[in-house]
Order: sequence, then C-alpha cells, then structure tokens
Amino acid sequence: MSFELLMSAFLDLLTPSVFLYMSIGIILGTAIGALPGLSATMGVALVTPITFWLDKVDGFAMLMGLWNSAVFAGGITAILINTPGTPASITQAWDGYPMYKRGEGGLALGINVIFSFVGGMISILLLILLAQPIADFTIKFGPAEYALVALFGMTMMIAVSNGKVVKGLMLGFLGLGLSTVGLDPVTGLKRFTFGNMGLQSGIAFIPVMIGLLGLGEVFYQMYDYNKKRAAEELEARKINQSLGRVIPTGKEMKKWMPRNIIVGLAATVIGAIPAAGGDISAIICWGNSKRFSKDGENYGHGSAEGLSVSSTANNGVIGGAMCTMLTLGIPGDAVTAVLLGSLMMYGMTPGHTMFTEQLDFTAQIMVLMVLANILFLIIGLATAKISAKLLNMSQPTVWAAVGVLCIVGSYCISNSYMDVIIMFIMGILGFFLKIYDFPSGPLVLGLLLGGMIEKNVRTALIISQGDWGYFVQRPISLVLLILIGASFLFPVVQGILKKKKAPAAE
Amino acid sequence: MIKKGDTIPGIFSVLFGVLILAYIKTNEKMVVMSADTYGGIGPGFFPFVCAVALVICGVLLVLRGIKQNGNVDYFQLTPERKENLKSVVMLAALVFIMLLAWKVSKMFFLCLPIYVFAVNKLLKRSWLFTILFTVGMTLFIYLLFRVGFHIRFRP
Repeated sequence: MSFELLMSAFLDLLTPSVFLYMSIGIILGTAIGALPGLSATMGVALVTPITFWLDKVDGFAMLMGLWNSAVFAGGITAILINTPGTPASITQAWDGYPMYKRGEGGLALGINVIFSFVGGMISILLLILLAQPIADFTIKFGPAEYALVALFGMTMMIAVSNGKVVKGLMLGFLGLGLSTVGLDPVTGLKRFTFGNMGLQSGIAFIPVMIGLLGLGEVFYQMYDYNKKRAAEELEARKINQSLGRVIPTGKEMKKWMPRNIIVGLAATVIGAIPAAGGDISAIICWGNSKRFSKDGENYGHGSAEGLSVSSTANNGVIGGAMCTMLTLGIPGDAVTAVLLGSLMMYGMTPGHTMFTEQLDFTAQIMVLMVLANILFLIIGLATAKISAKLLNMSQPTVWAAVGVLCIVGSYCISNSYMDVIIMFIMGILGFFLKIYDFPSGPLVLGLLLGGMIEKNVRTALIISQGDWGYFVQRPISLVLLILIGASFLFPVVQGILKKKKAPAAE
Repeated sequence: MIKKGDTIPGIFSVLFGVLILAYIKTNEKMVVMSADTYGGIGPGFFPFVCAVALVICGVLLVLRGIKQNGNVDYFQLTPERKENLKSVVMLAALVFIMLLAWKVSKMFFLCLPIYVFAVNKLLKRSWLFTILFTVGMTLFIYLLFRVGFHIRFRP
C-alpha cells in the first residue's frame, strides 16, 4: 500500500463528520470498556446497526473509535476496582490495582492509555506493511483454499475453547447448519424457510450477535447477580483514593519502550491467528516478559513495567486481527467477526477484492485506525482521572438500557421484525449457553463462515467434477488441511499430556 | 432433572439433529449426494453433515452427562439465584409481550415506554428513576432513530 494512497485517504478523512463520529465512538467505547459486564464486542454489535444509517466512512470511524477505546478502557476497571472490564484486561488488574492501592492510580491509568496507544500503533503499522503482500498471495487461492481457510478459522476457535472441544464442535456445526437457512447458493432451492419470506435471505448475522452477546449476557448477569458482591463493588467505586501523576517520566518511558516494541510485534502476530484474542495475547506476553525481565519478581505485585506490557499486548492484537479479516475474510476475534458482518452488509467482500476494487476504502479503514488511536490517546489522557467516575453506574441501569438497544438495534439493520425475533431467540439461547458452559464463538463463526465454506466446497467439487481428491492435490489446500488436523489434535494431545503430568505431580 | 450435567444440552442437540434429518428425508428436493447434481452433492449435503454431527456431539454429551453422575451441576440454584431466575423469566416474558404488542398494535412508541417502565419496576428501581429513565430512553430512541434516521418501526 503506497504512501500516496494513505495520504490521499488521510486527506479524504479530514472532515468534521469523521472526527465527530469517531469522538462519539471513543466516548461510547470508553464507557463500555469501563463498565464491568459490557465488552467491546457487545458495544460494536449494538452500535453497528446505527452505523448502517450513516455514510460508510462515518460509520466505520465510529466503530473504529469504539473498538480501540473499549479495549483500552477495559483496563480502567482492572486498575481502579480490580475487576477487568474485559477478559483481556486480567493481567492489567494484577499490576494496576496494587499500583492504585499504593497511590499510583493516575500513573497506572496513564500507562494504560499510553501503552495501549503504543500497541495499537505498532500493530496498525504492521497491518499497513503486511496486508497488501498477504492479499497478493491470496490471488493463488481458489474455492478449495477459501473453503479450507474458513474451516481453519472455525477449527482454531474450537481448539482454543479450553477443553470444551465437543461443545465447541457442536456449536460450530449448529452455526454451520443455521447458515444453510435460506436460498441454496447453487440451485436456489429454499431451505428451512417454512414459507416465511423473511427467512429466504438467510439468518442475518448481526441480530444473532446482538442476541447472544447483548440480551443473552443481560439474562445471564441478572441470573448471576449477587447483591452482596455488587454492594462491595459499589463501595469500592466510591472510594476516591489519591491518583497522583498520570504521565510517566521520560526515563521510565525510555526504560519500558524497547520491551513494549517487541511485545507489540508479538501481539500483532498473536492477533492475526484466528480466534486468538486480547486475553491470550496479554497472558502470553505478560508471562514471557515476566520470565525475561530484571523486574520479573515484581510482576503481579504492582509492576509499572508489567502493566505497560499488558496494555501493549491488549491493543496490539487489533492490527493482527484486522489483517486476517481484511486479507482472508476470516475474523481474528469476536469484534472482527462483527466488523466482517458489517463489511458484508455494506456490500463488500473481505479478501483480495479489498485490495483491488475496494483499495481506497481499505486505505481509509487503516488511516481511521491510526486516527482512532491518536484520538483515544488525547481523550484518554485528558479524562484519565474523570474516567473513574464512569464506574458509578449500577448494573440494573445497564441491563435496562442494553435490553432496549438490543430490540431497536436488531430491527434497524434491515427494518425487519423477523430479525428482532431471531435476536430474542438467540438471547435465550445465549443465556443457556452461558449456564451450560458452552463457548459461543464457534456458533458465531459457523454462521458467519458457513456460507463461504458451503459455496466454495461446492464450487470446488463442480470444478473437479465431484472429485474430493481435489482438496489434497493443491499444495496450499493440502497445507491448510494439515493445519486443520493439527488444530484438532492440539487440544487432544494437550489433554493427554496434562493427564500424564497430573499423576507425576502427585 | 437440572443436575444432569451435560445430558440436557446433549438431548437437545440430538433432537435438533434428528429434526433436520427428518426435514431432509421428507423434502425430496433436499438431495444429499447424487451423480445427477452439480459436483456430486446437493442442497441437502451440508444440512445433512451438520445434522449428523449434532447427533454425534449430542450423544457424546449425553454419555458425558451420565458419566458425570450428577456431580456436575450447572444450575447451582442458591436461594438468591432462584429469585434472580424468576426475574430473568419475567424479563424474557416482558420482551415477548412487548414484541407481541408491537406486532398487534403496530405502535412501537406506545409499547416501548410501557416496556421500559415495566423492566425498571421489575429491577426494583425507584419511581422517580423509573419515570426519568422511561422518558429519557424513549426520547433518545425517538430522536435518534425516528427523527434522525427516519426509521419507521413497522413490524
């Protein structure tokens, strides 16, 4: 991607509306990330329907602002009340909260903003540098490769589902099954529509996401609500301990920066692996940094360096996840799954066409990510101390508001009452999935990628005149098949090794 | 019944898979595999694969549930959670009634404030908060979606 193209995209984006919507996104994202129970994924899923009514650049400016800021804002609750706003912020709580307790809360919040910015910028830079070559490589992809890349994305999601392989598989196939509702991509036959016109175009992805991650989450949080624990958290939020300075000194920045550049690079690579999100990145980067750092023994006990590493690792996955999504059409994490759905609803096809027919818009997305990082750095630093006040919103207020937004948001995507019904059913399903400890990721990916898998498998078989050997005769698809097999074997081998280690430890 | 661990989701999975298989079996156009179709597989192939996989995963979960022998209890119903569960059921019922009322009356902006009001009372919010929240939320939705985006909430 040339410098001229990026500059031209930058100049196109210098409009008041872009900055207005991006600022709204950043404020919303900060609030969403800072409130326990609300995640970046839920925020993006709820706001996406609104963006369909805006110009696509303004809409994406809002989404990029929200996403980038929600990821960093998850660290605010981790630092101030020892409750990670998102799973990816868990390691930030380990170091940030002890810092806050010893009167360095302001510095912890400052480190969170600055190093989230560092991680975000490194990953976006890599995205800009690597996306085009990867996209160029995908020219060699045919239907067999696209089908297997999508399948690989799904199997990775199942492989990282923490020992819930059967449950992950079951939901992956359920999602794949739901993706077959509507017109058959080859023959045009109506499948599972039961005479309902609203189902002919298939089950829309965004209402499913809103139901699973929005309404389902509200139902579960209500079920799991503990009055005593909530009262204790509320008390913790009311304590206004001295926060102290926000900005680290030049000497401190110089000391932490080299380590964080390496972490930023590693987090981008982790983010590019389908299904490996911010939580995995934060734990891997924080753990390894602890091993190799001179300050390692202080990690987990209020180490500023440890907090900086966690913050960089957290936002560093964003560029990697976007790279996989834009070049291969495979979401790197749950948020990019929603963004992928949004791109498709805007009529775009993620993959190589994003770097040929839609190159201008792709460049604008990348510049929007840079702008979102710069804006959240400014807003985040300016409001670091005020952000603590955001936490004083009670959970029932959030539930009531999210419930309404789920209904309105799911209707707005295509003015369809059927979408609201689907959202409601998925909300109930999402509640039971959480109760029975099912990972909802494979269901989402199955639904999102099901159409791509079916269409490409069938096209490949038409090309090969029904010869299934076509999938192993092509080198890239053979490599992908091996990777799929390995991703399935990984949790099995891991389980066996764990079982072997357990008696040895006893 | 509720302490059967993975048995219950397993049974649902099997039932869902069997229903899909029954649909494929009774619909003659849902061809699974045939030399006459493009590429040897028909519109029923993918649903068939998913249905079979759902049945297999369901059976595995049922077996795991039996093996768990009541030791795994996903619904740990403490007295507080029992109360919470009632609220969840009530909220789901409120959403259902709201959707039904919207469909029948076709007046979204009449149903919405009633729903918001009822939810806030369900969540035991004070009268003042409930009224302020209901008015604020309805106005926000009306101004943003109806006035701003010109969305006509027609079911």
